[in-house]
Parts: sequence; C-alpha cells; structure tokens
Amino acid sequence: MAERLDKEAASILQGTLDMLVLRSLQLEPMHGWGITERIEQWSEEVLCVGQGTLYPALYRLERQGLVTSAWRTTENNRRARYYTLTAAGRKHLTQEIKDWERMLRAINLVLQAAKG
Amino acid sequence: MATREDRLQEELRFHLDQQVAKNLRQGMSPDEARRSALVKFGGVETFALGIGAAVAMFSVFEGVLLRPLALPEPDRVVRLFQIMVGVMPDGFDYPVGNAMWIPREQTPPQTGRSAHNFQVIGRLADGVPLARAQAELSALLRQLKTVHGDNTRMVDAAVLPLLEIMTGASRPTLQLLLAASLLLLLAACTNVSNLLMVRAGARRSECAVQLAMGATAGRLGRQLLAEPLVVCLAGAALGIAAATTAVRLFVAMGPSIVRRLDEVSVNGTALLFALSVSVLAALALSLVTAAGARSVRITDALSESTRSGTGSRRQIRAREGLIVTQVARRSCCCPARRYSAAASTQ
Repeated sequence: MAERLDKEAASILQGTLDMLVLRSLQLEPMHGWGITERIEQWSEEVLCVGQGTLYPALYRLERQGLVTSAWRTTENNRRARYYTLTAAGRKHLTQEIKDWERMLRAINLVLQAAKG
Repeated sequence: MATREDRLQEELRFHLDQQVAKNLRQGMSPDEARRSALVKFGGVETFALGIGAAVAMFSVFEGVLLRPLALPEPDRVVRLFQIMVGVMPDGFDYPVGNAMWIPREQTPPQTGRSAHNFQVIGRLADGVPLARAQAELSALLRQLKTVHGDNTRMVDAAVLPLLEIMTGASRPTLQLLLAASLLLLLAACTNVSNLLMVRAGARRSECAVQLAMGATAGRLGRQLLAEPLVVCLAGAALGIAAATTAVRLFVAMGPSIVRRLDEVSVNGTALLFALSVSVLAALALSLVTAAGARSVRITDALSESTRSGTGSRRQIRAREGLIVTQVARRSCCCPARRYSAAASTQ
C-alpha cells in the first residue's frame, strides 16, 4: 500500500477535485459518501476528500449541469442522494483527462530533462 | 418540497452515519466510532488550523507594521530624504547593524555643501505635525539653494515617518497574507458549521420540547452557544500552539523584505486577537444554527421524521454565505500565493 501522505499533501491538488469526482461517477451513480470512499480506495488511501470540500463541489457541478442528483434508497434501506454523470459531464471529464495527461507529460519531460 | 438546506443536512447526516458504520466495522466501540467520526468530520481540528494560521499571520502583521518602534514617542521620529537636482538616488540604505545614533552636534560642523550622502534622522518638536516640518524644511532648503546657487545640488528634502521607511515595502505582502489566512479561517468555519448543523438537526425535537415546557429563548440560546464555544476555544488553544511554532519558523527563515522580524512573537495582543476571533466565530456559528432552530414550529418538530422539516431562509443565507466564502477562498488563495511569491523575490 502506498505510504499515506501527511494531511497537507493529501489534500487534493488544486483544480483536480472536479476531475476526480466526475471520474468516480463514470461507472455508476453514487452518493457523496460513496464518492469519498471510492477516491480513497482507488488512490490506495493517499487521497481523501473531506465533506467540507466534497459537498460544495457536488453542488457546484450540479449547477454547471455536469451531474444530476436524485433521492434513492440504499441497499440498507436508507434514503441517500445519488449523483449521476450527465452527457455534458462525460464530455467535460474526457477533456479534463486529456488536459491532465498533456500537463503530466510536460512536467515529466521537464523533470527527466533536469536529471539527464 | 425539501429546501436545499434540508437536503444538505440529510446528506451530511448520511455521510456521518456511514463513517460511524465504517468505524464500527473496523472494530471500534460504538462511542469511539461516533467520536472518531465527528473528529474526522472536522471540528476542533479544522478550526485549530484556521485560527492557527490567522494568529501566526496576525503576530507577524502586528509585530512588523502596527507595534510602535522601541523608542520614546516613536511617532515623532522621522527620516529626511534629500532631493537633488536630476535623478533621485535609489533609496538610502537604512543603517543596518548600527548600534547607536549620535547627535549631529557631537561631530565637528561640516561646511561642505555637496556632501549629499548623509542620512538624517530627526525627532519632530513636540506638537509639530509632519506637514509643518516638511513645509519649513522645504522653505529652508529652497532658500539655501538661492543663496549658494551651483555650490549646492540639493533643492528639497522629504520627511517621512521612520516606521513607514522601515516597513513600507512589506506592507502589501503582509496585508495580503493576513487576508488569506482570515479566508482560511472562514473556510474552517464552513466545516464546523456543517458539523454543528448535523448535530443541531438531530436535536431539533429536544429544543421544541424545552420550548413547550417554558424554556426561555435566552436559556435555549445559551445551550446553543455552548457547543460552538467549546469547539472554537479548544480549536483556538491548539491553533495558538501551532501558531507559536509557525511564527518561530517564519522568523527563522527571515524573509529579507520584512524588517523588524526579530520583534515578532505570539504575544498578549495576538492571544487577545485569537480569543476575540474564536468567541466571534462561536457566536456567528451559534446564530446560524439558532436561526434554523428558532423558526421551527413545535408541532412540526415533534411530528417530523428526520427527512422533512422547515429550514429558515436566514439560515440558508448564512450557510450559503459560508460556502460562497469557501469558493472565494479557492479562487483567491492561488493568486495570493503567486503574488506573495513574486513580492518576496523582488
């Protein structure tokens, strides 16, 4: 398992939160808690999204039309708000991932150039 | 139809319950599971971070910009800048490392009229405003210029308060950093407010019963204030401890644009600042919570399931305000960081 970063470093990199949230909704609709858990699991417990960051982000994404939300019942018979990726959300996510990969490649190129 | 406030509250409560359930699965006792979930939800800890940053920045701000110089009647100490014909010299280096100043009278009189490299520091006569000193000096120097003509190159001089000369350059950076740290504190308040809202929601019917039994608004208000106050004061205590370390580090790093750093510490004024900010935050948070609780009609509160109920418009405003602040912080801190980085390389 990856080493857990300290609190400061584990806070989501500026500007990548939206991408991570949208990505976690790509497979299926999920509630807020599920999104937190999924991001934590997929990142091997390196990234954790606090509730104080997640819900404002979800509400913002909904206002932008990238996700929609509706009440549903969980398998334990509790009512929870489920978030679903919209078509616009999918398109936005694809673009974001593309931009991110381009940026990542650029940064790596610089770092490797410095090594050699 | 449920309001946005109710929706957020239910989502947050679900989130908290899921965290408790997860803790239970990991083998914690029910009490421990709940306590740990609340801690993770962010209360004392988050507030401590916010107030710590604010206190640290305030200490630097106060020590550098607000505290008077360690001289008797520091307001009266001024520095004279000679203004010559042609290009103005690029700022006189303040005498760093000088152990003492000696009065001009102790040195033999200088009769040369072209020695413009002296730095003059003076004390205004009692009751003389800066503007009058400036006017008198300007008049005197103009007169000297007419008398001596080409034998002197100085035509005028500027009089500026010494404090301004020493710290003027770092003022905008420090102001910006202080503002950024206050925004961080506001963001921490959003987290605490979410926590309090979840708890207050669960306690709505308890409040309604107390009101029905004849509890006064004041009695209920005290009860609502107690919890935020405990969270904020505990947060402040942790935050002050963090700030003390942060300030020591900041002083040790000694950014070169900030003068007077050696005088900076988390002192009584900073503690007073922390205390007042914490109490203010607690008051504001309890008002946000209370605004919702007070508007609840007893019959509603007693018959409601956890999901329905009425949220007060004021409460929604207040909470939206906090969320807006958080977004503002995100968009603000980034340029602020860039700016201060740019400023410190100058």
